[in-house]
Amino acid sequence: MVSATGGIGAYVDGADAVPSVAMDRPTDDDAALMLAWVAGDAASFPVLYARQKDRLYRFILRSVRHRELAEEIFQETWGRAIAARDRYHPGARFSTWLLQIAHNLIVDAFRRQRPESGGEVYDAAVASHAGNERDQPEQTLSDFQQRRRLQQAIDALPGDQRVAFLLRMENELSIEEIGEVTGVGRETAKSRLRYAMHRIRELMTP
Amino acid sequence: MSEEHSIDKDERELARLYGKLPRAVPPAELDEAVLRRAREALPAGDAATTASGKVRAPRRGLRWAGALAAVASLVLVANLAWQQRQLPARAVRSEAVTDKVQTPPPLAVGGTSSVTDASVPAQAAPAAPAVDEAVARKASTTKPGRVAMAYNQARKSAPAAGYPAPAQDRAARGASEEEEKAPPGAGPRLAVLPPPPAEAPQELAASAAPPVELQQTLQAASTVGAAEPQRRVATIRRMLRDGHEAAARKALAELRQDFPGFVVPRDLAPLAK
Repeated sequence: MVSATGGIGAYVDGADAVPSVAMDRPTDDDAALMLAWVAGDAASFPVLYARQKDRLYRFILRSVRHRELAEEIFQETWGRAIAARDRYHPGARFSTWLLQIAHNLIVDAFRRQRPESGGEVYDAAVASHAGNERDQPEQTLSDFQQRRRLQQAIDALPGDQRVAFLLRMENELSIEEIGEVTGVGRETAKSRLRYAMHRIRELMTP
Repeated sequence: MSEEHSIDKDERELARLYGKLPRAVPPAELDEAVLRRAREALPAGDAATTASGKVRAPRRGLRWAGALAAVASLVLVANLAWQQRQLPARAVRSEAVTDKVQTPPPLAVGGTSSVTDASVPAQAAPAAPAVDEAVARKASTTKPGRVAMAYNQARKSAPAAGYPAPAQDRAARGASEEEEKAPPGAGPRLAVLPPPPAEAPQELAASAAPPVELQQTLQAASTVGAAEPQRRVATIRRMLRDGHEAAARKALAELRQDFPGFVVPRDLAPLAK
């Protein structure tokens, strides 16, 4: 299922585990919200959820390219974060910790079953999005084609490079944080991101 | 800016294009499911604040801890108070034990009777050694801490004239009877000390206390007993110095009564006559 060219699970071990946050990083607002919720402030969690949910959902959806699987992983990611609340230490950004959980679940999902309908969600989404762009024919067509090519290029990336690219673009993580989420060293994460950029530029070139 | 954080022109262009991709969001039912899961995970009693921001009571666990700490403190204080209450009672008991343990038969002071008195029948003389032997045998089968108490009790129960006490008498008779009943070849048997009489004093019952405690009690009793006559002698001397001879004489008489074995100092000897 996982291959050196297209699999995600090839570069992560222990995908079942909720990652332990032992990295020495300053706390962020999300970490403070999480700690407040763990301490009993029930109102903190909806705020934390609202800040994190969209980016997390898109990262999962674009990684697995399957809506139902993405929703399942999304819900399970929050479920594990809730269950592991007592073990949470604000050593790293909360978003990094959350993405680690999601990434592990994505790897699990790829190991269990390769998505059969990869890409159809994005094709439909991009096509529906294009309907509003017919007011400016030339520019709209150009943007639509570029987005479609970008989406196809992302889908064509090997799994590890795709995750690195999505973490960089969608979640704006640094190289170190990409390494933390995917469980690899800094140089490996940097190399994956570089290859992903290069590959996408090649695929987008007419 | 570091190399990793620098976004070159191509990456910036890719980021611009990526930003134009459909911005998918989780469906509302997914939001509700996650938020419900979070609400269920946080027990209602643990919530410090509600959604409206009102502050709730502290955690139930903390209230338990506070109550437990208060109860533990009360128990500790009560225990300390009980221990303090026990101290004077223990001292009084020590004095009583001292009187019984250290009070010898009226040998030196009274001078009226003695174990070695010539009026004692000859066959009765070995009675005291018999008592000692029986007690020593009993001590070998009992806890070490009880030896002193049993010994003194036996000595005390023995008549001053040296006649065997009923217990020792029964022991001796029982031993002889057992020797008579013993089959030939069984060899000599040790005399068995009979069980204590039913009218045994309370002190013997109290001797069931741990040996260490008994030793401490005896030690405290001996300390108190040694200091008390000296203190009273000093008082008597002060009375004499102040010219209260009658009071001094009376105090000395009481001292001799309380401590029959007390040897009157030479300077107070005229008062004792």
